[in-house]
Amino acid sequence: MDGTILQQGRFTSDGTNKVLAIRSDVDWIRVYNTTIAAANQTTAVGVEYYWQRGFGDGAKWSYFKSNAANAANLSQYITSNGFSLLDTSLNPLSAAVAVSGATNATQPVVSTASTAGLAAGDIVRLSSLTGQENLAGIDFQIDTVVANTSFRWAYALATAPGAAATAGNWRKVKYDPIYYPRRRFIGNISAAGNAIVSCTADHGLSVGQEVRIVVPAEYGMVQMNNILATITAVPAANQLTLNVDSSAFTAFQFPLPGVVPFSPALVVPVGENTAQAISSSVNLLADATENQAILGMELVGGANNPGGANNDVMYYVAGKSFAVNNE
Amino acid sequence: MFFLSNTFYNTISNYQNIVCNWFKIISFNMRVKFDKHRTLSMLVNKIGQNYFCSSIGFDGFYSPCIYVFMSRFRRFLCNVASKPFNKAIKWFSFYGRRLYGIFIDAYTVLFLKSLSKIKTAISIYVASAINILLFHIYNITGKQKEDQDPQRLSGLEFNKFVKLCDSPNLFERLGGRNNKTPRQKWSVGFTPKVTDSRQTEDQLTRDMLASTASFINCVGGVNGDNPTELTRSDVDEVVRQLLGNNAYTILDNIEGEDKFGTAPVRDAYFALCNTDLTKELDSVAGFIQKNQYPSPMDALRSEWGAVGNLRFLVSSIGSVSPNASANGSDVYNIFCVGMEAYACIEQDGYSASFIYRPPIYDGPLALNASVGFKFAEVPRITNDLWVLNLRCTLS
Repeated sequence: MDGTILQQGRFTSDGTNKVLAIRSDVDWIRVYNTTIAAANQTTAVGVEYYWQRGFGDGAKWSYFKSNAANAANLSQYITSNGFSLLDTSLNPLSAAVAVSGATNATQPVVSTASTAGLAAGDIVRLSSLTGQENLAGIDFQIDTVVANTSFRWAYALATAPGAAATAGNWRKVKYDPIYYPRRRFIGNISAAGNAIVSCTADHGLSVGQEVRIVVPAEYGMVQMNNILATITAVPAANQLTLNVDSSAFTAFQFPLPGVVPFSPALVVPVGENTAQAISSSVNLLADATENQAILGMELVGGANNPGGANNDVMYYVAGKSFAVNNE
Repeated sequence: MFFLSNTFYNTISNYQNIVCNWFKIISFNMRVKFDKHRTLSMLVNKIGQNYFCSSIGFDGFYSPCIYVFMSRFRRFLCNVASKPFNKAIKWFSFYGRRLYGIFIDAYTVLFLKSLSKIKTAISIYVASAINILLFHIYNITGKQKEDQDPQRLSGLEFNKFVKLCDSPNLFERLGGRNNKTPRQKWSVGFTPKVTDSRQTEDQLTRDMLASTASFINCVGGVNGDNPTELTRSDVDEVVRQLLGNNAYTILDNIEGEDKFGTAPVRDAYFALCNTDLTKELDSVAGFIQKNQYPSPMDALRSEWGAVGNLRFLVSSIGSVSPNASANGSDVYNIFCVGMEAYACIEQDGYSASFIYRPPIYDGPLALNASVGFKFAEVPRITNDLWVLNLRCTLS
């Protein structure tokens, strides 16, 4: 048992952070950059990286290769840009960051003095908003991140929230709930022969899956409430086309701040329409419940980092110690 | 074969008086075709080992016997004299190594009795469909680890004492999860010294409900948040929806009796929630504490009380969504469930199994033993209309 190697493998770096799902947790990991090791270097470049339990979050032990003699002749312990343990089943939120304002638009632009850790496509949750209480607590995807200035709701709401916000907080939702398929908040539903439901974040659902649409009275389109529908198309990552004729339904509207408190409109995946799945030639079991949580390690990307530079071929081996005694 | 007598009832009821000065549970877990003679032999030997005696009848036990108690329900231990073992369906005894019978599709507990004291117990579940015998070893006098939930989210008490413990100072933490195949997710867990796989099963089920079940916010409160604190109108709304969705209640009503301070309890859905909500529940209009039930023994151990057609079961591992309210407060998820609203699917009949590797496999000096559990289960909502997540914040 002592010194058990849990897992080994290889990946080709794209220059960004790399997440390795490593079963049964990990006590140590060693990463080799074979691309760097296979060529002579004129300046010192990281070729091997090591981490063990007890190192600080993000730390690494680096070996550098620096000359034509193929020598790894420099070792260095660095406290950043290294390895971070990952458990996506734990608290998925970042710390709260102050919001200075948000526009009254169907795609509100949220102003903040710090966008640290945010990138287009991330999911964000607002809270303690002054003026836009109706948007607080709703998870939404963002785009157009202007560094340390603002970010924008990626997907439009049916109607503008009704007022601008003057203060509040944002938190990044780092991980989705661990089980697939997940429910999502609805930002809009079209009135059409085949209703299109727009979620506030990418839903991950596919054609053939059955969903239940929950539309509280505050959203207007009460005829859609509790309807069981089949997804017939996925026109966008946040949208679902349903086999529901909503053309005569009351228009969908986003509740105004004065309506708070209210329950949000939801799309809830409930199963699979096998006939639709067969006719669409898609997976009959796409609705299967799956625990997508992972334990593992996040490797920071880039030259001199364990995630490697673009196109670097990285090998790794990770293991488990029977006892870890960090005094 | 005979039914319970008062003598046996008194015998069983004494189990709570046992004080255990030591704690030792054998590791024993089988998944084999049922062979009653071999099974009995193993059980007797294991029980004997558990008490440091080479065979039953040794080490100070006078005429020890093993009794088999069978029930189709998990709530079978009852300390009220007026209703001794009202859930019992069969009662057997056997002496030495002769097994008179064991039935399938029933929850069974083997007791080791010496004089008037129950010394230890072993639960057995025999699955009728697959003819596989599963054993879990209990020490009914053992204490739980402090950070374990003593009552379990589901409210079912069965198996809560499943533990393995042997030479505790040799154990170490081993692991986590992440063994994924295309159509299934294996959950593997190891904790130091003591393992409670059932709690992990509950946590995964909880997380599934939190991920996928539809929810409604409490809106009847006055704390200025969204959702608000829990109120009677919110309870009425969720009950109305469950009734409208034709969800069956899980528990029968408790008939009123002529006793001071009691009130009848309606047939009810389960409401599974966090222990942080107990104060909130006490403040809900019409809340009936479980000690106000006409027959408190009908309350589950994890139960806190009832409001309308909801009976609230509380657990320290009840679901909480951090910083999810409009004001950034924690949101408490109350899973209101009707009968058969969700299920746990044991893939390949593979429930939690314990893995014990004695020190002899570690190295020449046999220094390190290990213990853990793994299971291949998937929790799944079977009818989304019969489960609603009622979300609330604290007042």
